[in-house]
Amino acid sequence: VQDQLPDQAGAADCEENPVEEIPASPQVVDAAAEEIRPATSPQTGAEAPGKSEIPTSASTLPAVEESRAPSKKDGHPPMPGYNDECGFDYTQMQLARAYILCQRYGSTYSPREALERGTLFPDLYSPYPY
Amino acid sequence: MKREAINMSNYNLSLLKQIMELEFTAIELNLFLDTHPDNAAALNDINKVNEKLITLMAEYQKKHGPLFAFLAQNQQDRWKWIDEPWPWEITY
Repeated sequence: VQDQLPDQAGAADCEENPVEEIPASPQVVDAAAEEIRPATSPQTGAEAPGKSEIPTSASTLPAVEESRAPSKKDGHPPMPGYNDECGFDYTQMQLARAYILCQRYGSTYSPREALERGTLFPDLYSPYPY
Repeated sequence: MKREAINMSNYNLSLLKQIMELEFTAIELNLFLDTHPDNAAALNDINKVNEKLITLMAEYQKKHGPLFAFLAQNQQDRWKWIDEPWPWEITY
């Protein structure tokens, strides 16, 4: 994956055809089509069946959200230092969102040193080990 | 109404400092356990810290006065909390 990051050809592909970069999912296509149809088609917009499509469209929203989440097979790198003590699935992380790692219970400072440093945990004292 | 001047030489400051240190450690373990409620090592540590902290706080309050206004006990003829030094009156 990292080899592809500076690859200009790969970046160009991404800009040229972003739709095809998203993993092909029938749910995504169906949802997009149903959202567009009432607005662009005068038939469905004027008729009663057009309204019945609104709940259908809303019910597919979670599926769309889920399908966009990165997974291991998409080639996203794992979060450094992650562990599954908290049971968090790091493969579901998304771009442009902030995440906090699950802290491990490692060594601790003495109570005196902890009060001086402002943390009990060497893991939370910069420079951070992971 | 009158509050007597604080003579800090009468206070066991090393004991007070030890209490502050253990309080901080207990809070840190408290916060860790909020997100790791089943962590056996952290539970073991906070149990030991709290046991020692309660002992030292009882010792301090018996010798001096209440460490907290809230939950202060045995306040018969005078509100003793007000006789205790404010943080800025303590020179560590």
